[in-house]
Amino acid sequence: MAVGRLAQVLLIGVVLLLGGCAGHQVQDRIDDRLRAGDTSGALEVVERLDSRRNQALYLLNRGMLLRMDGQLDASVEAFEDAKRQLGALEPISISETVADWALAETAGQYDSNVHERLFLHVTQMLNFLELGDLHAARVEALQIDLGLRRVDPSGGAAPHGGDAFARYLSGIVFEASGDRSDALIAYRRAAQRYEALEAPVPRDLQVSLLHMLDALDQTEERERWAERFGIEAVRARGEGTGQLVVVVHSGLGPRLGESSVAAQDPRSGQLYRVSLPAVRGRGDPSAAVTLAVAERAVEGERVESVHHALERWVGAQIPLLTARAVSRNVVRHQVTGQVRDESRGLGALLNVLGFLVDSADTRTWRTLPDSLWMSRAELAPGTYEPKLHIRRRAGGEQTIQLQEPVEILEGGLTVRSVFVR
Amino acid sequence: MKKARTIWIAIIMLFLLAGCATQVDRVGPDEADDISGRWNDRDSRLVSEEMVDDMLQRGWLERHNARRDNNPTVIVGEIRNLSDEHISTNTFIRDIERELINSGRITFVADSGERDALRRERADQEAHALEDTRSLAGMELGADYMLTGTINTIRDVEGRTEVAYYQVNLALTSLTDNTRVWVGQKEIRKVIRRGLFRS
Repeated sequence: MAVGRLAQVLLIGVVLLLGGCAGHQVQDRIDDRLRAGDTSGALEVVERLDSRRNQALYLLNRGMLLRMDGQLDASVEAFEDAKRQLGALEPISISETVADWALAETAGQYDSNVHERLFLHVTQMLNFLELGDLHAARVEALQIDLGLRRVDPSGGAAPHGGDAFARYLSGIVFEASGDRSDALIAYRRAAQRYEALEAPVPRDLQVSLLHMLDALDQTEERERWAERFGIEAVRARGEGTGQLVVVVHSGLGPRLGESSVAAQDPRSGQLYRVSLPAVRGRGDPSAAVTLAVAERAVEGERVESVHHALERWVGAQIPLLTARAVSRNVVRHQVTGQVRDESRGLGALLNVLGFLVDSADTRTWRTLPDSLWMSRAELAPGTYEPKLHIRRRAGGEQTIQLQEPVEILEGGLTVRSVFVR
Repeated sequence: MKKARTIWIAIIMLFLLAGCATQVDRVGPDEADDISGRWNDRDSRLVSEEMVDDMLQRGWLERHNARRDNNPTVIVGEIRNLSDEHISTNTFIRDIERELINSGRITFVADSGERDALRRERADQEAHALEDTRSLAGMELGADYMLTGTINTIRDVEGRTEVAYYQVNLALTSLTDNTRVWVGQKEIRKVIRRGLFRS
């Protein structure tokens, strides 16, 4: 093989290797900036992620950082761009599929899994709700349903979770829009999914489901759920009130690390490597959340764990990722052996480079929180200055005053987000 | 050796093919391609043209003209997007307004959002404009009818084929007695076949 041609191959390998490292370094720097409370700095750093390979990841992170920075309109735009980008990635790329099996796991463009796509819609729904655009939030709720029905036409469930809170929030949006039957369907599905995922059904969801069943005169089903939840009676929703929902984004989302097994053939010196992603959670810093408003204390509940969804997804991917890693080792073995026959030096170089390039794809949407908590309060119309008391897992309590006074309108839904690190 | 070279060249070619440059072609509004299958500016224009045509041909207009000697005055109320897409109802409303105003048979008045800005401007003129150039308060034209509506979608997906059915409902209601004087409906059906492969 001509040295020039081989140099091209080696160059691709080096680019892949450096590309992977660069992406990780950018994400690490974003984490550092966020931990320092410097969201603007994180927004500057995220621009370095803007590449064809990482386009979707860049847009997801940018959208979330803009949201943390309070730039909700710009965040909406970034997330809509992310949706278009992810839509364009739906068809199969032959080049990327071949590269996954023959070259490296990190060769292809970043594509989100189902639970990340759900979180994209959930986050966008929160953006719209905070902007006071209930109609647009309702569109997101419908897109969640449509997406889930594509993934699972019969049950409309996400294979690795992330859908329980998406359904729950959809129910809140439908209820606020006056679509009571849609709200009932969403609440019911949310409760079923929390149970299926072996997570506690949030108390507020239990009550909301019973309210909706009462409103639609579904007596038998109401009794079944009430018995299952252990609720004897629920207080009717107050007349002429509005609702305040505070969503706490707690901690930083889990990272993906690498777990590798390497071996060398003592006769030929051929290096083999199987690298698989491993979830490294960064923990939920919150142990309890209480919303203090109008001299009332409303207990918050953990409504979603990003960490658990990612763990379930990675666990399900391991057989496929292992098969691809084995396939790449076989291809490398063949190619290196043939190059080595012509030039021992080039063969050794290819061997080492192939070994280094073959790493797990550890790209993931890391600006997501570790967990989401939610408090929902029913209030009389008026202006309030709510506070949030967070009991930290590491000990101590943090009190957060919501940035601006909150206005509650009769029959309205007011949503605010808080970020805790 | 030759086999290895072929494999690598094939892999490199696939990478090269994957990176095509962006190309932009300027096209006229009637030539717009339906790229994604979603609701677009062309749908908005076509639906507004057809619905306005229908509205102007119906009997309510003649009945109004027989009762009064001026064009009916219409205000746009809420057009709710009940679909699963983020559709700019403002664009749709502007398309309808344009068609109705250009027909010369309808008078349009500003909606509630625009009215506030106009009233602020008039108040500002009271303080700052020359007296003979001021627009006076209390001279607004009251609307005879309100136009409201919804945009809905129904989707059916099977494999890579999707059928999107858009239904636009508009209604014109008399502000005097709340009677519906015209109801229009327009449907658009799109079949979207998604490719299996991309570059």
